[in-house]
Amino acid sequence: MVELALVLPLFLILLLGLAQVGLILNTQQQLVGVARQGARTYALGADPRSTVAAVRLAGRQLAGFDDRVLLSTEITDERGKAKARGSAGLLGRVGSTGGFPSAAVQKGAVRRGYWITVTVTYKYPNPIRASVLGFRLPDTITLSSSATARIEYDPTIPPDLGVAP
Amino acid sequence: MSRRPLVVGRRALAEDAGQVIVLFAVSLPLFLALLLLAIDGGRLLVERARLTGAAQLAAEAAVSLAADGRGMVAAPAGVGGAAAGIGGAGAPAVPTAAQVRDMAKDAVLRNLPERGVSVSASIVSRPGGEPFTVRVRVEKEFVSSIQRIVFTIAGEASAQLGQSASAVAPSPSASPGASRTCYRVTIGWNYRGPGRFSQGEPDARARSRLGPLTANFDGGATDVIWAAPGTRHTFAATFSQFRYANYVSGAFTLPAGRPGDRWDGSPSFFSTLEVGVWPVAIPTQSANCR
Repeated sequence: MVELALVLPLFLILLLGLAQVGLILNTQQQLVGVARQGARTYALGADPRSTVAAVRLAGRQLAGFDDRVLLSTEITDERGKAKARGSAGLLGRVGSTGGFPSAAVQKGAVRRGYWITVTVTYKYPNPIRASVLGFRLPDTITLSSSATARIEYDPTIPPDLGVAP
Repeated sequence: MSRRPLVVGRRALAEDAGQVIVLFAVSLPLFLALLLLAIDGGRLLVERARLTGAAQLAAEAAVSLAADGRGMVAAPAGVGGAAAGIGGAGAPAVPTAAQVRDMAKDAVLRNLPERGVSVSASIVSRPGGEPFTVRVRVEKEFVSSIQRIVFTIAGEASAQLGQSASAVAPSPSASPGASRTCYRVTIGWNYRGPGRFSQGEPDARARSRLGPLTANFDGGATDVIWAAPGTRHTFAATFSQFRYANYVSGAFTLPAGRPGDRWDGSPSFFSTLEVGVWPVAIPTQSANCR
């Protein structure tokens, strides 16, 4: 009984830690997919609205995604020179184009062959509120992932191409 | 008589303490090993997702480079420089195989800037140059938490460029230079992937619209579009039938085949949930384009 009483708390702490690490890594893996989805969607259409919609959908299973995620973007040319940056902002507060360069900025910055980098920063809510030896566990753990895609959207193509007669 | 139990109690306590220490000594390394194993397992999954994602983006970037020039010159690896364009006057220079590979490598390094990443890109093409597939393989050394175990992990992905409008293979329905033709495009989807794909099942609730450069499908759908062969189109699919909403996007280039020819695009996967979509474009008679 004494052995069990001594070992059980340690075992439970390790087990909880194990589960927590698993959840964090799972979230990190999903963020990789979210960033890739955002970069790819923007690369195809250079449309902030559809990109934000794609990011929202891809990250919907993450807890409180809209209020916990910061999106930031950067468009660079072939040589890596920055052409436009999107200000980072909480997805839920900055509307449908949050984090992406505004239409006015991107008008001259988007060109086929440029690169878009989407960085997704997510504040993972730590479900364990406890202090260990006077050290308080953080309420949130910041996870981040970014993806870079080559822009395929060509603004020189007339918008009516492809419309069925 | 009254002291004996006390002596026995002390002995028992000492024995218990000894047993506890032994138990700790035996079980703690086991727990820690388990913890490290779990952490490394999770890290491995995340790294693999990163490699596969980078490979997918690189393959798409390589294909898009070729799409810029409406094709690719079948040149041996290492031969650089632009060749005579087959996209017609004014078209961008057609990239060589080496340039396509370089693009794939560049894209991977932009996504995985850390050291120890190796990239190999293979191009499978027909004698005419198109359609061709770029397959990118990314390898990276994985170092375990205890730094003792090191092994190589890899991620692979591919993208395909459809047969574009070119002087090489003109056809009655898709002559070079941009005359538009009618295509029936089906976005097939499959939940399990990457096994055999089923065709997209018509969904009564589905709304589909295929625009010039962006297209949106809610569910699997077939649509008819009127566009020039060789133009690159994108699609996005949202699946709400599953536990989580899945969003998949991809791109394809319209082929320049004869009416009835079937062209299967490269699949796009949403890796987390193994949802895959596959565009199929079939040129049809203009009369059907309604």
